[in-house]
Amino acid sequence: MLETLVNGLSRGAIYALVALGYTMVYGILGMINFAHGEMFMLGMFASAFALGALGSAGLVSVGLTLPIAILVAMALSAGFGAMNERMAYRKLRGAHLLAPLTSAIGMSIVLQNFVMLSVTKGKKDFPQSVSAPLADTRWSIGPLNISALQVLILGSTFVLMIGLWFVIQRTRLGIALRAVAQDRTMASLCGMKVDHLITWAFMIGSALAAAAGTMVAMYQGVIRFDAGYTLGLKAFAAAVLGGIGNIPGAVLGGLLIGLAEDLTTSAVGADWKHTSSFALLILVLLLRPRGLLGERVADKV
Amino acid sequence: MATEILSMESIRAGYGPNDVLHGTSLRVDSGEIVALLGGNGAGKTTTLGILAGTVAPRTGTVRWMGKDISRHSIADRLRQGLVLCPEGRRIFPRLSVEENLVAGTWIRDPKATPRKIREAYDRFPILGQRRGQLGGTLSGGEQQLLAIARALMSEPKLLMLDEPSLGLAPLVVERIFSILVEINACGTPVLLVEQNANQALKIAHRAYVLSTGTLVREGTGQELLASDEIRRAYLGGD
Ligand SMILES: Nc1ncnc2c1ncn2[C@@H]1O[C@H](COP(=O)(O)OP(=O)(O)OP(=O)(O)O)[C@@H](O)[C@H]1O
Ligand SMILES: [Mg+2]
Repeated sequence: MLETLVNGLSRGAIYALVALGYTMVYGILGMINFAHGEMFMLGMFASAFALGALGSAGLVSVGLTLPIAILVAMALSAGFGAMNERMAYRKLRGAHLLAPLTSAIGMSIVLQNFVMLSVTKGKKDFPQSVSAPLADTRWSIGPLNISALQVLILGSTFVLMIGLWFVIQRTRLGIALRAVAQDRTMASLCGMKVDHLITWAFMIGSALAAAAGTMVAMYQGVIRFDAGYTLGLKAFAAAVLGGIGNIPGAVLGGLLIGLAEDLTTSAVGADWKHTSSFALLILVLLLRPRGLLGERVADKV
Repeated sequence: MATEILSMESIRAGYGPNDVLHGTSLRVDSGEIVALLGGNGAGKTTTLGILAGTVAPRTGTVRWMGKDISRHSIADRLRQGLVLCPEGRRIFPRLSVEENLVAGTWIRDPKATPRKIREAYDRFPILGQRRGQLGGTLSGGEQQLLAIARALMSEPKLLMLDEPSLGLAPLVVERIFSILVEINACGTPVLLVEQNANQALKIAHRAYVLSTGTLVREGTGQELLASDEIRRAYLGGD
């Protein structure tokens, strides 16, 4: 039971990291970033290549290679996030809502195909140099048996979330991001470059997704070009469950969906886990159409 | 000797096919409070938009300290000290009072922010008491104070205000206007758009009256207050 909870929380923490990107972009732009799942997938591949390169350069110390790989993945996805914003969203600002939606789906297909054609259309092994020792190191704390990898996932998600909270709540950039989300006209009258700040929101969200991608890759040991699809959907569900546009909501939604999946898996079997997470979403939306921590539309605009 | 700091010359501007301003010219000299009066839809907000850079002119020039700034961005004009406190106050509703103030410092050196926040609270103690409260929870009068304080955080060399008295109780309006006089006394020229013409003319050195995009009258505050024609047409006739 305790282990199920820990598994659910680790899974949920990953969903939450990706959900934060959906919710940030929605908060500032009022639109869903349909290419966001690909930022997660690109993060997987970027860290795989980074670890591979570091390994062949003779660097194997986990304490060094892993942080580097995560940072590389975050930076690369942030770059793709900025590109996605420019190509799929900025050009179409002011157009009908369906236009950026379509272009983002297009962007998502392009990125998937790019990875499929340039890397592999099958599975790619994630370098085991880092993940294997972490997964094999297990600690028992009372009745709880937990791997170093899970500790790492929970720990780094926690650190990233605190970092995001700090940026959003305590820095000038965070104030500007929230200002643009609340009143774009007034933000520009304060001299804020609205376009740049929207790009920042995409970049931050993409970087978090890439970090999540790295951790999932370590956990699963294999990566695929279409890995962003299901995970993106789950994270999107998490963002909606928590109240899209609301940052604590994304975290709450992610954790709840993660827990629901692992509790279902241990109770009735893994086949039911997708059903349970979306059933949970539908149930919550029936009771609270704006999500758990969502604001009413009137407060939002 | 007053020198001209801001002017617009023969500005035509509008939205869609129609012009709202038909070759409008006006100026603000150093040290002045200038009122821009006119009824609903006369083009007052559009005029401020031209000056602040939110509306692009079709023809004509905007000059700031002698330099043509017609094509400068909003942020560039802000940096040069041209600050607009917009219609409807536009407080960020879910930023705290203090964060609203910080938003006003975006184009300025962040190192000066703590000092400027202290000064704002000294000037407007009520904002200091409400520093952690969300902007959207303030009363209308408090929001207007905050809007002015936020504009001051941008360090204006000219402060433009769009109907700061709108929807406020008479006592609060008086307080807002006396603050504007105070700001002006410290050396900052003020361009004040108002429908509350009587009050505005009492503090204005000079005033323009705008009617459907054309300036129909210019004069000192006293002259316009004394003019029967203006009183009847624009000041509500009392
Ligand atoms: N964004 C816009 N798009 C189209 N028309 C506009 C826009 N803004 C203003 N107008 C029109 O331009 C004219 C002048 O508007 P403006 O806001 O400048 O007037 P105003 O003098 O500020 O009026 P008020 O006292 O009501 O604030 C009005 O007829 C208005 O309907
Ligand atoms: Mg107006």
